[in-house]
Amino acid sequence: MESIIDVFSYFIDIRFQFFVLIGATAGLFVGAIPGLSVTMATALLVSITYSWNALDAMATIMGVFVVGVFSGAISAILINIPGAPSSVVTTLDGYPLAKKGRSYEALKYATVYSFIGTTFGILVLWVIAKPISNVALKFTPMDSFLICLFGLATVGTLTSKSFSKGLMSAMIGLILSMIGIDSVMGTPRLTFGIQDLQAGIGTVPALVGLFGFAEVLTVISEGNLTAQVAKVEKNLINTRNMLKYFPQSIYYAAIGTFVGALPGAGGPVAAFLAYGQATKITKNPTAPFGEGAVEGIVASETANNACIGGALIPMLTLAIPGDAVTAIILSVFYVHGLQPGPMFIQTNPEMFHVILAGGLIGAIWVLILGLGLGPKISKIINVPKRLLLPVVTVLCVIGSFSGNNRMFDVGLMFAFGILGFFMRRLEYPVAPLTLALVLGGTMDANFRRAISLASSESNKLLALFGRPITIVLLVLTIFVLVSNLPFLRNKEKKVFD
Amino acid sequence: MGNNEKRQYLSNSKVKESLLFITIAIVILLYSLINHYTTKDLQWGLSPYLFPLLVSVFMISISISLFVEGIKDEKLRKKEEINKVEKKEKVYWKEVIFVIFISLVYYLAMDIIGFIFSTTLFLVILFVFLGERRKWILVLISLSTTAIIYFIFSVLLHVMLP
Repeated sequence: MESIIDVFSYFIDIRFQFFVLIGATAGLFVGAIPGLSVTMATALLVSITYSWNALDAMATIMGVFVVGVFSGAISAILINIPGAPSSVVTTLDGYPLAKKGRSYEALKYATVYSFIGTTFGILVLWVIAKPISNVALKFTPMDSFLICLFGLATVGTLTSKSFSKGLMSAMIGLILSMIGIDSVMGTPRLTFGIQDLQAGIGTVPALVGLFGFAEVLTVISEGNLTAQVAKVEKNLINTRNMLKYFPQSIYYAAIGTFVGALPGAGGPVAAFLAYGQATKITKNPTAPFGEGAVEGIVASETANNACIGGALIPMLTLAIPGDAVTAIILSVFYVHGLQPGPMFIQTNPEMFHVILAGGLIGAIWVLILGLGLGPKISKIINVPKRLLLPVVTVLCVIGSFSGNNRMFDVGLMFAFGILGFFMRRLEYPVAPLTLALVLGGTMDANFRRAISLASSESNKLLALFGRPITIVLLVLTIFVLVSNLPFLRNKEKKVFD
Repeated sequence: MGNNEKRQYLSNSKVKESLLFITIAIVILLYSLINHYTTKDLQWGLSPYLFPLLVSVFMISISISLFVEGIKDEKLRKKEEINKVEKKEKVYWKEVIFVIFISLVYYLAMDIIGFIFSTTLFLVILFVFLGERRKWILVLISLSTTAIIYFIFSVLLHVMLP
């Protein structure tokens, strides 16, 4: 009860609302403009909100996250280019519907069902975060290490068509995370005598480079600097008709939340799976799927927004981010001296409530901004990239510098941008590297702690892997790796194909 | 395997990348072992080189898997190449290299001529390079962007600029 009052008290907190609105407005534009991603915006925000208090920072970031994931649908519908990866599936029916002159209707469905998806996901987070934390409290260092490894294994195998490339990306991230002074012994590791590397690779410059500057280079390399925008004509839609898909949307939202909670799967997979289900359960779609079926938009948009709550579950309770944005949010926590994990909800209930309130208020802003501004920003989506990309580059410079006020970090950002660009070109997913970079320190410390503890026992293997939770985690990790071995899934069609 | 066949496999990008990764992994493996054994009284449980050692072992296994994937891809390609012509998307390499180069110059110039001046110059050069020709837009947008950025970050948000 106390928690409900606390969460809803933020609804009347003007300052809190203001920061969520700032984030939401930024999210609306960033998500809608192809070439600017929510991940990029969150990464930049980490550096900007560095000096703010944690509450304001979190309110803004939740606003960007929730509205940014939704607004990817605007460009997906209007120009057939998803503003965010999770809106890829929305283009399948959204754009055909817009071409029929019904873009307003498509936007409205996307807005309403994004709201429903977000709310569902956040409510699930609210209900099940505590029980999961209670289980996680029983984790030994080995369990913590294995859960991170499990996370990396799923991210690595799910985000790439190639089994090895995804996992290799995670390994590169782990190596980069080891650079700097070792936290246990205080000796410099892999610094090769470079003084500036002793503080380690800063997560913020790395993320801004990987998602900001790399995106700039990718867009330039494709040479695709213009886009055609569909016209928006207002047509009235009956609310009853609008909410006709509510029962199905709960099913899609459940898929979205579940997929979101799996590390690495995230919005695109959730939207794809929900879309697949929609094609199965819808007997008489408004138009054939792929030719402007409203049911397709409903499935995709509900599921990708429900992912938000889902992705926050492992991040808050286990300190394992569910996707790249939550990996960045995790670094916001560290920047503000907060420690997510099993103890987080007990020790920081107010921050947990801030996230819930930020998510729910963000969902309301999805409705307001989506219905109000969504149809009107078609002109902004079309802002020429030749003007946008240089400005984004300057923002990346500021974002990477402001965390520690070091020029070295700006150089690091450019280096990571180039690395990210080549990774994309060679089809290495960037998400596993990001997660590994954030999780590397925890994995290292826990692994060594586990080995140290076991070294005094007579049966070392039993001490390391003897507990039921450990066995389950070990089996799960091995299962993820083995089931994705190339020869076992040769004939299986990948979700990304 | 003939020399020609070998060369063909080596031209596969996955095979090439796997060789690069296996080299990196072996370097890290050796780095960990040498540093561990040259540090006095260091137990593996506490050693800062334990985790790099573990990661290098993982990396070697994944490199081998990538190598095998590459060989398999090449075999499959050989089977299908007669009736398939690969479509390659155009990559604007010159443009990318120029942007990287100009960003590097911008990075170095910030220290010498300051953030505001170098940013305005950087914006103008990139706008022109990416195809903007209207002079008034060039001047207006680069000056206003720098001014807005300065105002928002430095004055409003108290974020330090380079």
